[in-house]
Amino acid sequence: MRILNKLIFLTFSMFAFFSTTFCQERIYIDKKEFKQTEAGFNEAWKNVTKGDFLFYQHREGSYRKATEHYTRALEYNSENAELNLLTGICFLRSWPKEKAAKYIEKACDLKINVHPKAQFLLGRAYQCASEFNKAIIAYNTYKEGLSEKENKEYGNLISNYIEECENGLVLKKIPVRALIDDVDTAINSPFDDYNPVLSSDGNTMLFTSRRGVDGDLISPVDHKYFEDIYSSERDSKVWSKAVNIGNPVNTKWNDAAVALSGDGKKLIIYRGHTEGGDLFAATLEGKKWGYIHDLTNKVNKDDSQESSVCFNADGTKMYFISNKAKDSYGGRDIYLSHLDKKGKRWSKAINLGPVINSEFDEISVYVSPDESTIYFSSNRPKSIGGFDIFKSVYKDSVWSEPVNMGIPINSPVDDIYLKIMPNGRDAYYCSERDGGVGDLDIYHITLLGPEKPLALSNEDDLVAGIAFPDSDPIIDDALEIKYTRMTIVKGTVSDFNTNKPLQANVELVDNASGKIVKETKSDQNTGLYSITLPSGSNYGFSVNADGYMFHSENFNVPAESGYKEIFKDIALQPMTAGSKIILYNTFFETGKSNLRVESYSELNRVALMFTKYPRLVLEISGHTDNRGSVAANKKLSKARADAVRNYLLGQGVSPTSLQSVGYDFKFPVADNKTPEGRQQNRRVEAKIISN
Amino acid sequence: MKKISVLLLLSLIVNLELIAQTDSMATLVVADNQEAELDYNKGVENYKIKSFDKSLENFTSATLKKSNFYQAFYNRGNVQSQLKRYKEAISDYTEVIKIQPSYARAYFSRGMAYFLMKDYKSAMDNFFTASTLDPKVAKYPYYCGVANFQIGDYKLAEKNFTEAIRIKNDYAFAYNDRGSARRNLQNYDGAIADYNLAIKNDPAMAIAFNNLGSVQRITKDYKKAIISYSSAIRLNPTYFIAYNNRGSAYFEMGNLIESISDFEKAISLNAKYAPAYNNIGLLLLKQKKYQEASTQFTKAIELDTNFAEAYGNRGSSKEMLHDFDGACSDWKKAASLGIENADLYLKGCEK
Repeated sequence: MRILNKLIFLTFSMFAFFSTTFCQERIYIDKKEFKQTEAGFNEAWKNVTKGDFLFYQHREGSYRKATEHYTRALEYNSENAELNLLTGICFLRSWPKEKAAKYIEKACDLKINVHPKAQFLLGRAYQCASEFNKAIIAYNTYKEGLSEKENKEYGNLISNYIEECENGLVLKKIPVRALIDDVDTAINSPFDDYNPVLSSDGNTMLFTSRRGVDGDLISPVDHKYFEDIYSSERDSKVWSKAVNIGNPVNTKWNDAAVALSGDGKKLIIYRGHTEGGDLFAATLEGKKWGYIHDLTNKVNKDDSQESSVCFNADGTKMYFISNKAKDSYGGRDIYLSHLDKKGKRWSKAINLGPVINSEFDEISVYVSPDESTIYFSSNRPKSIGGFDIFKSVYKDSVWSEPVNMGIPINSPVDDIYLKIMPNGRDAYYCSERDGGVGDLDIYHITLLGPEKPLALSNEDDLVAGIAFPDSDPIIDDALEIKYTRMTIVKGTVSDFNTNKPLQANVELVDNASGKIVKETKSDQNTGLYSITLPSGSNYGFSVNADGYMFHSENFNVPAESGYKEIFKDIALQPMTAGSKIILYNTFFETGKSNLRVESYSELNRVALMFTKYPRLVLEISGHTDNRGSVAANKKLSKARADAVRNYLLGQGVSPTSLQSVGYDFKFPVADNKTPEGRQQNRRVEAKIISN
Repeated sequence: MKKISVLLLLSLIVNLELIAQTDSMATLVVADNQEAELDYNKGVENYKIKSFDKSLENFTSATLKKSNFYQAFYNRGNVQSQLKRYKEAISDYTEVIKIQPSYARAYFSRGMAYFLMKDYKSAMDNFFTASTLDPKVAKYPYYCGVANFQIGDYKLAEKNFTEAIRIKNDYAFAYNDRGSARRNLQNYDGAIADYNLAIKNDPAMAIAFNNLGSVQRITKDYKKAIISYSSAIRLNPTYFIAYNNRGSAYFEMGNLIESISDFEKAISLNAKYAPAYNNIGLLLLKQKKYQEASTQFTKAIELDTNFAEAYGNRGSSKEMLHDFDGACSDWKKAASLGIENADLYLKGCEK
């Protein structure tokens, strides 16, 4: 379980390769070549020497320290190929590996044959920086330069790295939806911090750290401090400063957190100083961890290391990592052990089989509470570099082919110890990637679930009838109104003798029907009147006022007649002897004395005068124009006067009240030379004889 | 009935003295029994000058004077429609249909009133009756198609538009809309052909160019889509919808610079155009500028509180900002508003 052990396993082949490479082929920095100026040289060279000392210890811890000296020396001379190469190798073997490419690339640029394995190292550096295409080129360049013997020895290793890069290229194109965040500086340190174990509520974390202070014991294997267990509590979203959980759990040797029970009261720990490393259980007593006992010899074997444990939901099954040599498929494998019904003894561990376990190492295991999914880290060929996290689903009593969890969860460096929280969204693991505080750090993963579609928003005017709606209705047009044309007769009514304005009734009679079609009154103060005569008829127009003879006019208004205004001032004659009126609406057949029916309205008005004035005596006189003989006109005028008298008699007027006389054309009222004048002269008059 | 003494002067000049001196000017007297018609005509005049309230009074007065005056009911219905009083309009058109059951325009207008009330089924029924009564009017089957389109019966809509085109073979609207029906039936080739016919019959029809562009965008022919949208914009330089769509085509082509330029132009033309804010947000989301993206989505939501896509997208930006509760809240809202693939958004939010 210890990180140092992990490193031995995970990079065993490479380490061996490096060891043989660099033990046999030291990289010498030529002092003269390095020296550029006196100023600063001594200090720089001291750093080179110290760096070399640490480098050739070939321990991870010492590589990291060497980078500090080499980078200081580079400040003096950054153009030395060997120094750049050594710096790059140090980064490649410590942290952050991603920085190695910069130095190794420069070393190769400065000196094409800086080292026989420079292209291999460049490939490693590019791979660690996720520059997979460049890495493949470098690996192939290196491979092409290998002798047959070297190819036999290292060909497979190089091919594996190339395969990892190809995996990386594929997975880079289909990144998984996850957010990776360095947990917190309250937890992570510049040293290795790893294998977080959490209570089921996610608020208590115990983890392993190789932090230390001067004077603490350092492992001779990797020159790092021994492991201790630390704990932190989360309040809201903030983790408290991690504290060493102290004795008796932590000793001066390796003590690592492996698993925590759901209630957070039982901690499985790994102790690496006994029997090659075994599992123990510690119990929380109050606020302190104590009572340590081992997990029975069915799990812990004398000849093997057991590490990374995951219990099922009810604690009756234990999945763990072991390097049991006898039934291993290669390196470390995942095993399963059952708790007996009494809950006291664990069964003999069973290897999970060749689907899950490979000829490479499987380290760190996590099984979902329902045991349907197993997550583990492995450096098998499907990795993209170092240890990657894989996932397999248990269905129909068979584990599916493990799949790489993908980028960004996995990186070309080590990604291990995944723990998924019960909510399925939050997870923790540790990774050696760049970006943390230093070395292995604990990271939080947010598993984002399926990709959400990016919803562009677009509109169209799909329907023209909606974009330009027919919302302005076509109204029905105005209707044709029937009109009649008219003539206006207007003027004043006054007393004939005094010229004083009179209020009088003004009537319009349709002579054809005899009906009054309009009536109005003249203004009593001004005597003004106005009356309209619609076109298409012959009208009798009469003005009556008490005490006066009526006045009549005749207007013929043809249908096609244009607008006309007729001004007619009317002077009514009082009902006294000598007053006379022309009966304009008395009509006869041409050249005859037969009254036409259109005359009746007017003559009825005359008859009405006798009703109002019983003592009235009228002279009815006929008049003609001057065409024809006097005798003929005399006869015609008398006959027409008689016709009127007879009509009035017929209306009940007393014969004694009526006289008739024919005046032929003795008393013209207009010029007989014109048709209009002659028309006016053809008339019947009524004159008051007495009243 | 008395003679109406109203003088209707057929000149704007109403000076009697002037009239008296000009024999050519006739003074007319309205013949008997035409008070209703006079009110009706006043209503028409007031309608034409958009004096709708007065127009309404005139038509009402006409109907009171002549209860079977269907033209007055019809026009009053039209005024009510103008005033967006669709229920009252429908009542008037119904009265017309009672008096004059074969009056196709009344059915059409009643259909329009239902249509504007979004009662597309009733609208369709009325348009259909209008088209049966007067089969020579292309507009009637056309609006049957529009109503069926709104109902979502694109096959029937396609048939209606085809009938409208049969009656009037240069009917650009019908070609455009049939193209849209075919687009929704995923007959993209047919849609493109129809939009092109719409353009042929009305080369200034910007919306047909826009729609053509959108089908080309759907079929991932982004270059052609951009040409079509550009034509729409050339015809209507303030066509913000086409700018937004062209921006989307650029976005989908990966040309983010042109894309943002078009989205911003759409907003400059219509500062309240929510889809463009959403799309700018998406662009920022793609650039991993999650906070800025979230701000744009919020603007879109402020403009359209029912904007499902903007909620969905804002949720995605919040997710990347580690605001998972906020993300789930937005996704739940998006799902409630009917966003497509709601399950995808909600997966994980139940925890």
